[in-house]
Amino acid sequence: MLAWRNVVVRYPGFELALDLEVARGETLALLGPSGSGKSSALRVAAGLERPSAGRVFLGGRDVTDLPPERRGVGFVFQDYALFPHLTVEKNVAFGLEERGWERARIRRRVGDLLEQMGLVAHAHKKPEQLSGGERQRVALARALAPEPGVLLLDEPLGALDLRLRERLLLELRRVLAGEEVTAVFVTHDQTEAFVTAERVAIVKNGRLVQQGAPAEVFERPADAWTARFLGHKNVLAPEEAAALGLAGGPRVLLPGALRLGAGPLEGRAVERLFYGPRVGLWLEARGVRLYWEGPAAEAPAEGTTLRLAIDPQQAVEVAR
Amino acid sequence: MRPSRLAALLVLAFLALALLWPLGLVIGRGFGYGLSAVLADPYLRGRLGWSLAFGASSSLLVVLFAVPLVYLMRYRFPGRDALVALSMVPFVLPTLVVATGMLAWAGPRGLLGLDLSGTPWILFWGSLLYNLGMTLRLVLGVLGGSGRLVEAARTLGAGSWRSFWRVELPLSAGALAAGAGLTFVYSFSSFGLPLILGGPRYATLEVAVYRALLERLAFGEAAALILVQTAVLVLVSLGYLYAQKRLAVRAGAPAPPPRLGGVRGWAALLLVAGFFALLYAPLGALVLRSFWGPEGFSLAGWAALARPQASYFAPSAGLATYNTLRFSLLALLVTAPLGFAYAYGVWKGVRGLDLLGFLPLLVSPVSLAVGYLLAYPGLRASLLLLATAYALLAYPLFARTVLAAMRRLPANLAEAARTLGAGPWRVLVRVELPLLRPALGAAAALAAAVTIGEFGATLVLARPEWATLTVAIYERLGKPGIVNYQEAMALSVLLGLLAAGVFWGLGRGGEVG
Repeated sequence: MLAWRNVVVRYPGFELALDLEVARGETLALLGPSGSGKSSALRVAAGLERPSAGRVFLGGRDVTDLPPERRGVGFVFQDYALFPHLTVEKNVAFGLEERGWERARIRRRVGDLLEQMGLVAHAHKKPEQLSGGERQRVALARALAPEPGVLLLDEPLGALDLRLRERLLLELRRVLAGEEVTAVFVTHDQTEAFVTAERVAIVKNGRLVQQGAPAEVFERPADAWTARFLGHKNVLAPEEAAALGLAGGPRVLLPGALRLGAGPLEGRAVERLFYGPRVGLWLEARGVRLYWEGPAAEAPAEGTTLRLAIDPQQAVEVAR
Repeated sequence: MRPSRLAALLVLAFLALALLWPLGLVIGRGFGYGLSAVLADPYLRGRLGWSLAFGASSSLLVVLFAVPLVYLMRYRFPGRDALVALSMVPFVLPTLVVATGMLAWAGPRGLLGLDLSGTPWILFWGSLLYNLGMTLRLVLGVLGGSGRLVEAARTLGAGSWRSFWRVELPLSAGALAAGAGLTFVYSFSSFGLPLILGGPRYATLEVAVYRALLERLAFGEAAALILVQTAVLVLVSLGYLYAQKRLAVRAGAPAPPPRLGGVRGWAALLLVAGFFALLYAPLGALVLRSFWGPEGFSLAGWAALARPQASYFAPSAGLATYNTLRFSLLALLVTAPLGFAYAYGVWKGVRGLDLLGFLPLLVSPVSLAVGYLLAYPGLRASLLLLATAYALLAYPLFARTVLAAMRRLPANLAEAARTLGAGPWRVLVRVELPLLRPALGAAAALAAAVTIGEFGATLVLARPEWATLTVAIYERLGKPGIVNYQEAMALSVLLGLLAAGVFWGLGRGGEVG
């Protein structure tokens, strides 16, 4: 549905090189730290930026030379970019009017979307009267209204606080599934990417490092950097792995690889972090720092010496 | 006392003494015999009609030209930034320089070869030259923050023209209305341009006030004219405030304008630069004319500047320059503390103070000077009245510049200083003033540039030995002979250079809001 073919975007001191495809109806997350070039990829797809080289295809058609208004994509901006002079209703109707829809049809579509997003009560308000979460929903409704072939979302939840993010994340997931739209969204938050996307593409310094289904990427990270970026805490250097009896290169211990209570290794509980539903435990064994997470009842007190075991099946080897 | 309260008191006291009392006296005199005489006189009724027509047509013209220019200038193209800076030039140029420029371009001996003097067109041209840049700057300032919104409109299917029509134009409506409103106010009450170029047919109310007062000593009539003029300005200002409230939108974070690449970029440059070259041709004509005599190249006008004083009523160029600089500096001593106090009070949220900033817009310099003569006859022999008039006209500009910088200061700096034990006065001295220093320089430069070119109030208040450059230009223009004409051109060039030089030299042109 959407493809970047050997796309290159150059800035002073930075280069993004991307070759990636998104299937019809798929939700893809472009995941990477800030400055990795993931937003540029999105802007190139929307036509807001021209690539220095390469082509962009939408539905099999080369759109590289088309301006944004002729690409028929939906774009949700990080700061929402709601038109401050128009009401919520008019913001959502904007793209439909540009496409020359009939008035009755516009009214129906806008009404449906406002209802679906829980915005009916705000229809006649101006954006500045809305809360952050409401603005985000208006931006999403506005981008979805013209039934775009592809929906592009630039850090759609980035400007919200944590509690609101969790709620809107579920909503976003539901909407993306319900509208059966092809969606690409950019985020630096792996949870956001895992929960929402069917496929995750990890970008680092302008290069695609790895892509695949969330579980696949999480359980088989391409290298140590990716493992750490995806939230793995037990990323062992070769000499650390060797000290613990694991041969070969760097290793990543998946959650569940570490078992407390019995086993060949002796360790000491250094820090016990009470998170509420779970407890995090930093251990030291043979000079290597290890992390364990589990129910509070199974976590020993700080300073306790304990036995532990590592399941070699769950200690995956990664590239350097 | 808290510094903000003291600042507000200072501004209120100044406005009461320097604006409300003298103007109130004049307006009081305007009721009664004067008013009925003015309304019965067809010529004076005509002045009101023409002033309204001139103001309205000028603002309409400004909007008509500003919209296509904004359409092009919202893009980035080669030379665009220089053109934006250039459009600001006439704003600091004295009206008299624009007037003599129009004379050199389209007057009886004008370079254009087409004598437009005595027609309204020369006045419209002058008004456009004077006000278009200000309006452009206001609009482009608002649009500078709408880059993301245009991108949003584009992804929703709006092309370049459609997004201009549906997003950028509505967003800039407030700024456009502000430009149109200010253009109306400046044109409706303009003095220098119609006095020199308009003749009796196209004299504004302000010119009629001056003539009634100084040519016919008809004080009651002048007061009645001022009353009528002030009433119109009050109504327009109320409308302006209402429109600002209705149309204002909060601008987003500034974003670089989209690029217009290749041939289209160069075409835009050609169009915009060509337009400005034509619009500003009078300024070029002024410079050329100052070097041009009946037989071609001539330095007679410039040489005449070195002439000693011809008579008590014909000030030498040297004296006029000295007076101009002296009075501007003197006025700055009043303007700076007053403008700062006003900006500070508004910034710290003293209620009602921000509306007072509009008051000086409601008075024209000539009316103000007439009020001073009436209210403080004992001070006529001192420079105090002149300095006060200058300060009253310049302080809103000074304050605007400083206020813009104040609003850019992070609020938590003052809060941090307070938690570290500094009281409001100490915060002002140790944190706020040092951070505002660049803006204060720019504000002083703008205020000085404006007072250097002041004409109306100076003409009414100044005694012959106090003649400034503007008064000297007017005096030369009133005398026959080609050398006097050339000397007026040379003096205008000098005045223009002085105003622009002070503005860019002191303030380096930046920071002015």
